Amino acid sequence: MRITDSFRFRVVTENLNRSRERMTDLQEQLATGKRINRPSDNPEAISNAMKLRSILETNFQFQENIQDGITQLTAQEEALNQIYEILAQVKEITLEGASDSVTVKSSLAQQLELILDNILEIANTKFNGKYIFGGTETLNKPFTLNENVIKFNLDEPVVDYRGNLGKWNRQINENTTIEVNLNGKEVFDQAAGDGVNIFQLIFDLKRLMELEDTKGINAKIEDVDKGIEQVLKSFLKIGTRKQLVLFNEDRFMTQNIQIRATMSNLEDTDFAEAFIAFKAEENALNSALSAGARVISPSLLDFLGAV
Amino acid sequence: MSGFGIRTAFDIARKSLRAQLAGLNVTGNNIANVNTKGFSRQEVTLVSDFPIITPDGIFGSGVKLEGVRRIRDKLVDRQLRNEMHTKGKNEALERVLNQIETTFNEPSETGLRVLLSQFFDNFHALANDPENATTRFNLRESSKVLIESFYRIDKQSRVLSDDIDFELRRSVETLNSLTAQIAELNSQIVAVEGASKGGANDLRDQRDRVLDDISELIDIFPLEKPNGTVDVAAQAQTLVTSNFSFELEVVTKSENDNLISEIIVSETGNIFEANNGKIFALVQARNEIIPHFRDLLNELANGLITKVNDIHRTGVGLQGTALEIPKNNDFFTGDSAANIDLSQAIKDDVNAIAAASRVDTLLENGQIVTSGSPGDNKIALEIANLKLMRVLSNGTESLIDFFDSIIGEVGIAAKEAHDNVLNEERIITQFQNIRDSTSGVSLDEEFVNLIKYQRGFQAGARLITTIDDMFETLINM
Repeated sequence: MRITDSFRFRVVTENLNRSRERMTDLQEQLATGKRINRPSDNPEAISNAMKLRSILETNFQFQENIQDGITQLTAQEEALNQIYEILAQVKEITLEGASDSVTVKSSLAQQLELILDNILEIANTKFNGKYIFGGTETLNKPFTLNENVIKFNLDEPVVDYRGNLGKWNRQINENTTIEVNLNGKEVFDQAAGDGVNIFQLIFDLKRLMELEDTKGINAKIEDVDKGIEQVLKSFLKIGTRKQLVLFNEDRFMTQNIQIRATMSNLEDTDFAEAFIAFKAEENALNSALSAGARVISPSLLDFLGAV
Repeated sequence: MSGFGIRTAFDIARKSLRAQLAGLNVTGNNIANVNTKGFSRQEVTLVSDFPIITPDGIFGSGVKLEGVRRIRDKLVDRQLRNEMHTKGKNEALERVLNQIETTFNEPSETGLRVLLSQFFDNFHALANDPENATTRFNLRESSKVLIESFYRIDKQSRVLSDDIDFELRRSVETLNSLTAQIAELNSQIVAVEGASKGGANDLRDQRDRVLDDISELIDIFPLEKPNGTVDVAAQAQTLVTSNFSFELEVVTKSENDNLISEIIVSETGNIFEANNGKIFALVQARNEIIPHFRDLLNELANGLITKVNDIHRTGVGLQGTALEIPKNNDFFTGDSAANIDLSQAIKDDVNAIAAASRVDTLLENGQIVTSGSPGDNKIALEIANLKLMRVLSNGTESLIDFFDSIIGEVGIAAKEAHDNVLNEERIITQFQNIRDSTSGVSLDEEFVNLIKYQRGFQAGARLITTIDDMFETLINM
């Protein structure tokens, strides 16, 4: 083959160009830390990486939902714990009042009145600006005291429930939503079912104490136990849900670590490999340069001077 | 006169000097044009002159200068031009697709994809805290940013389309000027070659170079006529015939929502369709590729609008109870990437965003009162879950999947065009090397020729002095 000058120059420039292009590519990989920087670099890997990123983002949101769920469940748990302790106190007072030997029942009645206020306050707990026992009626006080019933000892409900039976749902994974609230009816008023209305129970006890009706008080002991059981059940319900939520949190944490590892494999520059490739390319470029310099320079002209 | 004599010897020497000088000139011309694009090396054609027949035998009568010819392989020219069309096309396609890629700007922390994902996540945040004004403000702001992102991509794709049109117009102008050059060169070549026997080498080189340039723009069939002119046709359309060229022009039309460009022949108004080359790629990009991706983007925007609205309509905002609910309780308005917007109600008041489901109560007087409770998050959850629901492409893709597919499609097309360009570049380099190997100037070779002709000239001159000496001998006898 006849090798002409433009041929030689073209080969040299093209070798240099190609080498420089590969070096620029490697340099970008090293500088950005990413093996693929735009979809056309590797459409398949980008598509997989984007899918994984989607999952990661969604998981992140579920984790946020879980965190929020835990906060709400904890708030309810704490309130229920307080109520449980108070009811234990009520039981003590009831047992004391049920005994004939105790004659200071009026002071017990006073205690019960304070307890009623106390429990009402807990039932109207506001957390993060929301009444936690009002169902989805979160902006209005769920329980209101009928002052007149207390004042005139009327045979009417002592406390009204203004909330609803609405649920606070939190999505904790793709398929599961979980209720993170118990409404006031469920916790405090199961009189329609096999439970009791706790407010009413305490009010009734207070009245019996005032009347010094020992027999009547004795008859209520069972109801107090029912009330305690009712709160305990609620407490357990919340606990179980909290466990389920925490389990999901762990699951996402493990899953995310795996996804990040896969994404890193797809997207991230293998620095050792890239550096070695870069070094190799640098050598290739140097060789191309020095070979080019040698190919271009000699010409017959260099030797004609001697003729 | 018959036989041979001193005069004949002088004649041979004279012709020799002339031939060596011509050789030197051509060599000089080759050296001077070593870096000229499209130049084919030339060589003098020397033949031994017609012999003189004498009774003593047949004697050669020296050298005859027959002409100067260029060294060129027409087959390689044709093969090279075929590859040039394809390269021109793929280069233009690669550039356009890279620009589309840039328009979508993925993967990125600020791209449409992330914003779309955040949009749905903010509905989760709303579901977690439906009474909170801050989550509502966040949601509205993130929706605005998402909408802006749709606008940006839509606008950039229209700007890109206009840029392509501009480039198309420039390319067609270039093509017109190139075909006009061919017509001009045709008439010059006929004028030069008609006058002398020698080929119009340099004009033909120029014409071949112009044909190369045209080949990058469109696919052409150049046909050389016996009189030395070249006719150029592309598809069924003649662009150059002898010394006349046909001009093309670009006209803009509106099709659906898109502006498209058509090339017509100025004289006849007929539509001209290229099959390959840069011009073909630009027409395809403007008329098909950009509209295609705009359609996909609009489908995504429309999907988002309708799916979110379908759910949002069944809910109520945080407006207290028993308030009049607007009949058309939409979240978005519009139906495409260009006109998607928030509904006026939500623009006016974040509490119009519906997180709660709607409860219709029939009053005793027959009136229906719609209400919702502030802590209810059913609607917010449903919209948040749209993120994962396969609501597009006949229920096979979620909105985000759909967007990923668009990006994948751009990426694959851009990669394919890029690979094709690399491939074509290699093929073209091969052909250029072959062409250079035939037509290119080798300085080494020319230096050898330089010395060859110099020595020839020196010898011819020596011949003259020798004959002169012989003359002197004769005269002094």
